[in-house]
Amino acid sequence: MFEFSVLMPVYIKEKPAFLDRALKSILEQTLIPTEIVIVEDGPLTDELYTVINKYKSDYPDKLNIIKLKENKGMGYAMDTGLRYCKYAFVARMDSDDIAKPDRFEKQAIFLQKHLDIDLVGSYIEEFADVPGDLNRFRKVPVQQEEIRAFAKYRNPVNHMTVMMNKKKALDAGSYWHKRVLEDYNLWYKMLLNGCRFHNLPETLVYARVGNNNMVGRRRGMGYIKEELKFFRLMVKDKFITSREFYLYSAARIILKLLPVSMLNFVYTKVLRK
Amino acid sequence: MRVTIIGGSGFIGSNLMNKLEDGNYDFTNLDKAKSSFFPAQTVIADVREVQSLKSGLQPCDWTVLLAAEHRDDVSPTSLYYDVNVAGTRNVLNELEEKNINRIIFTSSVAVYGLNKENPDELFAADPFNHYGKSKWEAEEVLREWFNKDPRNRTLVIIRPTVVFGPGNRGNVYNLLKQIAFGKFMMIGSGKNKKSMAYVENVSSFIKYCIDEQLSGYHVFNYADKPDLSVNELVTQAGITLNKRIAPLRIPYAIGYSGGVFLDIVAKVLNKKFPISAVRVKKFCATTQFSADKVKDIGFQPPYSLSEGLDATVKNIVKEN
Repeated sequence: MFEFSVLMPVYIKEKPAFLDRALKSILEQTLIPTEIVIVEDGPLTDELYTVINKYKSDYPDKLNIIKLKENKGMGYAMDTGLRYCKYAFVARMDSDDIAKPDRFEKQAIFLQKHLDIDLVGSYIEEFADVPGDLNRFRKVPVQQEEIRAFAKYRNPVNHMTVMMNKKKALDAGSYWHKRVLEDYNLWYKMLLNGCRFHNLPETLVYARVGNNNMVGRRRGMGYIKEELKFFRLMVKDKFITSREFYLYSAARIILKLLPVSMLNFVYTKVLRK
Repeated sequence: MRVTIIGGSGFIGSNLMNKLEDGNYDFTNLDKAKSSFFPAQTVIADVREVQSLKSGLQPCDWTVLLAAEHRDDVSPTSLYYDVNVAGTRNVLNELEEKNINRIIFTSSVAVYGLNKENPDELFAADPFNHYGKSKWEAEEVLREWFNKDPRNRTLVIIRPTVVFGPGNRGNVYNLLKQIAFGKFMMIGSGKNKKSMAYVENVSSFIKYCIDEQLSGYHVFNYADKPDLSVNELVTQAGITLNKRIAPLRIPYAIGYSGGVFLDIVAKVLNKKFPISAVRVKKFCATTQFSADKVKDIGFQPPYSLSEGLDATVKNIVKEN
């Protein structure tokens, strides 16, 4: 029997209906998780508590609810939650996404076939209201070597699709507590530690995107400063060369200076397939 | 994909090569005996002779090591160790030499020993005979090889229970033949259950491991479920034969004494008999093994156990 935890942070701005749909998709899997760790990232609304309580009473032994006093961002919530997960493998799930019914089964079978792999992700299909309405995918490189190469300038893994070896993630330093790049940074550190990744070349998660959501968080000087800091770290670790650093930084700065409409175009038509 | 089968001229190997022939495989068989089914793909080599392995083993993606002394009446007993352990070591040295990193090895549930409670792959080894001991030692040699470079090597150990099917002359064959020709005597109550493995499913599983490109270190028990008791086995054979089988029943103590007696006669006459004390003991033992792990990697056997038995009994009737 393959045992694993699901880790899902929830924060106050989540819509109760989305959370309900997300949890439902986890519990209707062909392979049900051994436990579900929900991290309440700061106080939530009554409606959200109602949803969580409903599932807690239906699955009292499966759900483990961790309450954080205040919202400190995804990185902090994930890091805390990860330490509460009881099983060797942890699947990540966003509170507004929908997992395909065979998502966990496919990932579990893959991990049991390939015992040298520490993390398995997949493609996602983005949707606005119902799965299929945007017909927009984020495809990621499949094999370790391609993933490593891709990681030099872009996040090589769809965070919400990950099932990973908990110990390897903790050994790499877990999620950092900054409010940005918490996943990319973890993948980077795991890859540096010699971890092996694989992305299944199919959609296993429908990822919900709001209007302009794609761009909003990524704009602004704060974000780009953090990105450049992160890439500088990669140079220091000799993961990328200085030449590559300047190239990727220039590309990023130019992208951020584009007007929102064009930026949206780039994200949806170029970076998503 | 290039696959080298070592010891492929035998029962499982021939069946496996049949399957590989349908796929996109470039396979070679190294065996001390010529293969009657695949002479063109066979290179004569003996795992005990390093030189023959050196010249016979060519670079490939996967090796399947089937070569073994497996009968329960091999003598001298040192042969088990020369072939199963030292032979494995010779093969691994050659793999290292030629930079081949993936091997599938057929071990046996004999490594668990007799009368254990449904052991799974984590169960402690406790082999009771030289065959089981030599297989366990071979596994240890393989693990040592794997641990020298665990990031790049793949080791798949398959521990099948008794394997049967058309063309095999093993214990299940003898039993089914006796049933088919009315010569079967039931020793003991017949309520003891047996985990058995149909050859088509075993070789499909080996092929599955290659097809799915398994990586890392794996151990799998292999048995086709659900297990049958000896009584159910007799009934099942009766269905194929379309007759009601009511065998003569003998208490275990008498059956076992008979086996011991035959062993003495065999020793004196320097002959081999189909019935021996160890075979009576094995026949009456409950030999059930957990084999759930193969399902965890998504394998589904192409045949059910009764389909396998049906095909085997039909083949016995046809041959005789």
